[in-house]
Amino acid sequence: MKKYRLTIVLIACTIALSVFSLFVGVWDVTLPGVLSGDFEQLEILLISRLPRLLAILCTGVGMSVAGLVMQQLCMNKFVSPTTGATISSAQLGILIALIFIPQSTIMSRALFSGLFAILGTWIYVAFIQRIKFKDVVMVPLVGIMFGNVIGGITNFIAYKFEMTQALSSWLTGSFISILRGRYEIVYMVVPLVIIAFIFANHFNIVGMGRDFSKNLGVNYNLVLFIGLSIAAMITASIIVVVGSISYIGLIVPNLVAMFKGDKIRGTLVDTAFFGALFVLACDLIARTVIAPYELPIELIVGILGSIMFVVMIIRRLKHGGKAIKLPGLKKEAVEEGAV
Amino acid sequence: MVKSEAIAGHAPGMVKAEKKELSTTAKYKSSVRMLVIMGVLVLACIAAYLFINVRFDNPKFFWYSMKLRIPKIIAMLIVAICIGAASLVFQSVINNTIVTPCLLGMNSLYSLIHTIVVFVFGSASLVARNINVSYAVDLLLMAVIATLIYSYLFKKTKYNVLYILLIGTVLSSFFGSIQSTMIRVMDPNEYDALLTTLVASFSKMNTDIIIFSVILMVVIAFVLRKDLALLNVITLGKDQAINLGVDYDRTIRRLLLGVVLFIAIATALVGPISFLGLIIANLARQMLRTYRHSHLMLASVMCGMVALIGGQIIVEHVVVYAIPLSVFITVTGGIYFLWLLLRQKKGA
Repeated sequence: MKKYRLTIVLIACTIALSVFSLFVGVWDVTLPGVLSGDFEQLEILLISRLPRLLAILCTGVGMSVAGLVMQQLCMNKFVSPTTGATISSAQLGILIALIFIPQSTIMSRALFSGLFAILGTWIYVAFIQRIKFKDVVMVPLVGIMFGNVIGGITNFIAYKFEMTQALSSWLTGSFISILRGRYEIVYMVVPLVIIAFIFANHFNIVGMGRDFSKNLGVNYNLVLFIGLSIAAMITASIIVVVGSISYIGLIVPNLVAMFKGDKIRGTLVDTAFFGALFVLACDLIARTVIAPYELPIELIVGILGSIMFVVMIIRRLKHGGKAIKLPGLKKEAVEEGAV
Repeated sequence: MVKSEAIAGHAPGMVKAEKKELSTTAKYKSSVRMLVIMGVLVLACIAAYLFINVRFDNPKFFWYSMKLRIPKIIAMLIVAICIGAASLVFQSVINNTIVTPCLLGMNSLYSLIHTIVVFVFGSASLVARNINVSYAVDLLLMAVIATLIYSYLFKKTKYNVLYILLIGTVLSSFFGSIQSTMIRVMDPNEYDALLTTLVASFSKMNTDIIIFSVILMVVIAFVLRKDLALLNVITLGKDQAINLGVDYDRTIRRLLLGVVLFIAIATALVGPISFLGLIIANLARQMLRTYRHSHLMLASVMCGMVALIGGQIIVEHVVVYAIPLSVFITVTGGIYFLWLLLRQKKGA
């Protein structure tokens, strides 16, 4: 029972906050009103509030699981869709879809951005695997720069085709424009997360290194390939609908791992719910700060997330390998990072 | 510690070791020759920028185009001096060649402070209406806040360069997020009135503050002249420098303050450009193979001038504004940065 206490608390909090979030907004929607069958309130609830809530939950779950999977596979706690070039490649994909198929539906955009995200992530991971970095911090650093370069190229193409403004809605994530009929692709996250759960033990083994997984009879390249593709597809389907939301994939898995350790099957559910909770909370802040207007959630996440990330790095610097555990890393690498 | 330093960047001493075959005087001469070549190139660029497509036959047209172009070129020269000098000094102070102040988010911090000042005082106040007053307030705040944040950061990470870099990149996105939040919260009318000063860029240079910037630059350089002269000693390392009678901590503090202010000036004029400093400071180090800072700084500044003015000529006349200069700098700078990281990897 004690083992599941955190999970239960997280689930309870998520449900409570979800219900609360349904009743926050410009238009007054109250529980008695909905129950008594007020048509207007019901309409608001079904067209705007409920889709928004579902999109938020999917985003939180998806981004944090994608981050967790990437961290396991790359054996580095600082890898995530933000620091692994996934988000910027997905944006490039959307832009390409917008330019070459002007009448593209959201589905084909998702397809393009998924393809690009997968490609970008693969290239990045192949890149960091070829060069054996000794310092843990080098990996995200290279990822951020890689992302910057791709972002620069995206900007250039957007500028050339006069698409900068259209692109900006995919650059800053927000739930403002989530309405029924326009967000359903985000449900892609659900089956992908289930697949991630099924493969969880494989990811764990791959996280221990090529030799180790060969020893246990796991096809290293295949599992790595599947895992990265899942993470990239989750990211892409969220970006197409919501826009890019950074840091969730980085912060959430690390915070959960501090309490629950690194066995991915043990932490996956907690990570997913904690991610949902985090996004819900940020969204509530974004909606209430300048009500009746609202801020894009990316800004709130950016502020909170970067503070937490810096604290994490400084903690790691202070406590060496203790504060944030590094699965699979060789001992010398841990020492190196702790210097 | 020794190991991670070897990975993260090479001290200038290593460059010297590679080029042992050259005698000191020959090296001195070759770097002077290089500087002269660079100087000529800079003059050529300036002349080209001023006179391409200008009609000399009609003085009215001529002066009209000069009136447009001269402030721009002065702004670019100032930016090149600020970024070139600041990046080089910064690299020497923290003894690593892959770090520049802009990569650590100093320029986004300046943009944020400017937004906060405008936000707090409102566009109707004296501070916001008089552009020079608001500039002075910005710089004052920047000097205090940046010194606090970054010296805390350096102390906390014990000058571990990779950590500084990672935290710096995160900080720069942090400052960016807060700034865009404030812009969105701001009254749309105020935002409209302040758009130009809030987001400066190469196509919209903030030329109103040129005179103030020049004065400021001269004053800073004058105040810091003694500290700058000590740079050669500083690069020998803390213990050596103290041994040779340098008040190490004080000098570093003053130099960092100068770096912060120079970055603020550059950002105020043309907005944030992250990678320029990295490119030009490293180019200067590669071209000169010396560690005489008077030469290196000149070279870095002149590289900056050639890059900016040459780049702007290409943007304005060859591709006719098809590529913004900042995008170009980001892409090449990012690739160059990755290359630097990897090359140092191999060397280790």
